[in-house]
Amino acid sequence: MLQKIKIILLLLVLLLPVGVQAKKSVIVNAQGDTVRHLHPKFNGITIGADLASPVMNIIGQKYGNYEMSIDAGFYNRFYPIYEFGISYADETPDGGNYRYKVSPSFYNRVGLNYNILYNKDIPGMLYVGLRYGFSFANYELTDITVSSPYWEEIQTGLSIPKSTSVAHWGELLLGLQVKLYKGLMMGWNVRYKLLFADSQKGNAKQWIIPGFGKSNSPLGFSFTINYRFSPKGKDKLPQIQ
Amino acid sequence: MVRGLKYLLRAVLVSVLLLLFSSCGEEYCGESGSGMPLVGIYALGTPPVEAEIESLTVYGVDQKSDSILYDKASKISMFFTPLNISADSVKYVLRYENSQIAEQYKRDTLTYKYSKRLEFETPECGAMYSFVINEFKYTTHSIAYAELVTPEVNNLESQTVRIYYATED
Repeated sequence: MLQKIKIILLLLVLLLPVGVQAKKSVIVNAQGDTVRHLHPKFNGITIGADLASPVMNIIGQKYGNYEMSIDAGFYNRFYPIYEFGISYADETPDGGNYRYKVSPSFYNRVGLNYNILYNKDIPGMLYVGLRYGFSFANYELTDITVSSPYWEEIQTGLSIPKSTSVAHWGELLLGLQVKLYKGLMMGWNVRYKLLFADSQKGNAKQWIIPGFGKSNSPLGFSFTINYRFSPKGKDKLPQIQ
Repeated sequence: MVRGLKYLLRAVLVSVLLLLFSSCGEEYCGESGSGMPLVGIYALGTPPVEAEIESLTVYGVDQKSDSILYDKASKISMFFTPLNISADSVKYVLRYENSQIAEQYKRDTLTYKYSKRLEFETPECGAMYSFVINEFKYTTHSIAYAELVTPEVNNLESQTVRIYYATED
């Protein structure tokens, strides 16, 4: 736990100079006035979908998060965001003596993206973000095989009946979004995830957590397609001096 | 443009760091899988000290093919006694192979009665039984005294049972 906190602090320190540097720009708007923000206070609502899981499922991944997001932009700098989705799993790991199944379960994340390049005249954004996620899941293990080599005994077809769990976690993100055409954007992000708690009712600890992924894998990746609905007449950018 | 490239380079650097750190958290699963009672050997004294048996054979009673678990193992100071997943008790025979030991002191037995529960702790270790020893019995032909240190049998290398022998000092 302490090591994970250290990692997050290290990453924040690495990213800090980028934010500081961005503040130094002097911005002049179309009327020739020096302004603090190049973009309007409210610069639109964005709806997005994550394509990473569906693509990974096509190439064989046995679990997935089907996810959508909605965010609102302020000064092209702060993007409060809500992500939600449905997750499932049906995986038998290589060399594993079990099959792990998660019933389709709903999950949520709330957080904020911070556009590092908020005062730049570029068709996209580079952002860091924070998330708080929580989910509820029903899961079970089936097709379990256990052996007792010395006693020459083997038991097959065992199962651990349904267990329930509530999990919550935090995420640190780094992402990129590029404008394709009008409001249509495409992007990716990597996420470092830290599980805060994972309550357990039953004989099995949770492994594949809806919205979090595998509990033993702290890294996540999203590939998103988004559409931004910008307020009319406020999407033209002034020149940067 | 140059500044933009710097931002991107920094982003790539952070991504690489994330990838590196992500590979540091793998858990190790012990080879023993389901827990096995580990028996430690001690010489009686104040305090008792770890000891070795010159030559020891250990086998389970009613093992299907009369297989021997430890065959004349020399200078042994601890040994595992796996539990049978298809039974609720097991008995092990300890045969002391030293020829100087009189026949009536040649054998002892350890008997465990236990309950079991199927559990899943980590994906690496998989599903396994966790055992709780409810009753522990032993004979005292050569063993002076034995104790159940903890009734929970885990897959760590911590001793579940300690057996004590009187020494000729």
